[in-house]
Amino acid sequence: MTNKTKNSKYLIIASVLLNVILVLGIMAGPITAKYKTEKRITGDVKFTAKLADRILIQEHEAVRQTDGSYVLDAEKIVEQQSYSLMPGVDIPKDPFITIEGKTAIPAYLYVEVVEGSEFPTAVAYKLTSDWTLLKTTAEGSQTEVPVTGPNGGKVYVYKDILTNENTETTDGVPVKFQTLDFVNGSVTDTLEVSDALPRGTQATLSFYAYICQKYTDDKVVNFGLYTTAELTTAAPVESGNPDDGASAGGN
Amino acid sequence: MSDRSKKRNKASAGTILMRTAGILFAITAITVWATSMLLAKYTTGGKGSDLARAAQFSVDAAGEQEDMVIDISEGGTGEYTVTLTNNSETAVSANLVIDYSGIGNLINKIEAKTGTGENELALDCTLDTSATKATTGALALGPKGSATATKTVKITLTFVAVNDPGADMDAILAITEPMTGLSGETEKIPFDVFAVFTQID
Repeated sequence: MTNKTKNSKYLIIASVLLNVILVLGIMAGPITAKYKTEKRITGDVKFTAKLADRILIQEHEAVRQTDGSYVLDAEKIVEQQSYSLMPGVDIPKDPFITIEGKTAIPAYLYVEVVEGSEFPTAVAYKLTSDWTLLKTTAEGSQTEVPVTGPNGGKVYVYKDILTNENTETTDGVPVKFQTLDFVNGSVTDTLEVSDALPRGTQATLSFYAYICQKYTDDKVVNFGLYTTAELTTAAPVESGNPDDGASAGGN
Repeated sequence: MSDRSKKRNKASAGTILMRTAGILFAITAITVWATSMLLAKYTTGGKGSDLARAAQFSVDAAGEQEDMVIDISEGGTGEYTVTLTNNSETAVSANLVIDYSGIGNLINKIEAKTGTGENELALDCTLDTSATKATTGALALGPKGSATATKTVKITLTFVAVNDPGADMDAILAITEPMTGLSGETEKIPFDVFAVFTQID
């Protein structure tokens, strides 16, 4: 058989197969076509979340001794108190923050420290190393400046993101987040009062605590967007000079 | 037979085969043309006969739910009920596609059940690769007027809690942000359920 004859046979076979497929396709088309449609309906869900039941900032009461010094009463917690200062006599002061009913939503903890007008340079305080001063770059400037809180004070952020693990002890007791450190020594929780304390000076020092949900992108708190949690403590500092036998504000 | 005659016969055999193929193709083409005309008449006609008509195909789906409010710190479940109705002359099958892409990765599990009591039947729920859609197994609905023409499917959505292992914290924060004060609540976040009906012969 010549090649030409073989090719012709293949051509016929291919032609017949093509025709069969064509006919079967046409027959099968109407058979397999089925109605199909889609209906869309919509539901909805709402989510709620809670950061905490309560956030507090408190301190132990400082009790004045006969020699004019103060000692903290470990049994008595207050949210406001006054002192009569003497030059060179430091005041124990231990503002601490507790968070009750904390959920597991990650959150930042902030403290804002507000010095009243004419706060004396002779009175010093320092936050513990757990707190970092928040800074921002002013618009049109390269210089970083402290973030100003809602009450006009400097704002510090706690070193860790808050979760259930670090706001409660294993027994479910709220952890106390201490705020103050001593300026020059190893003793914590102190207002340092220098010998240069002017007579008749009056000043206030207030602490505000905030808890804010963590952003997904780790931005710092934006007080314009976030509502602060709770203000609890105001601690006025009054000064007097024992030399003239009178205190400016009394205690 | 001379060589010349042999060559001539071979050539004519090839010609015959080619012609045969051509004739077969022409016959098929004519048949196709004629058949398609007939089908076209069947589908677009209606004049002079009411016997040749398309079967009625009419289906419906309706959704119902109680307020679904999930405390993200504890997680929880929400139920969405879909009622499927077949008003067609033929049986249909239905699959439900639950599209929860708007909720992020806050769903742990999806379950779908139909029927009640002893007749309760769990439908498989297959998640797609993006884990934002789930498709249930097929559910058969009888033709219009039959006892099985209407069926309900209860879809149970289980939402993640913050403390669940593997919880997507970024997704949770994206949902709860911006929380103000000590607590927060989101707007209602929609999700879609598509009921896909297919005619059964």
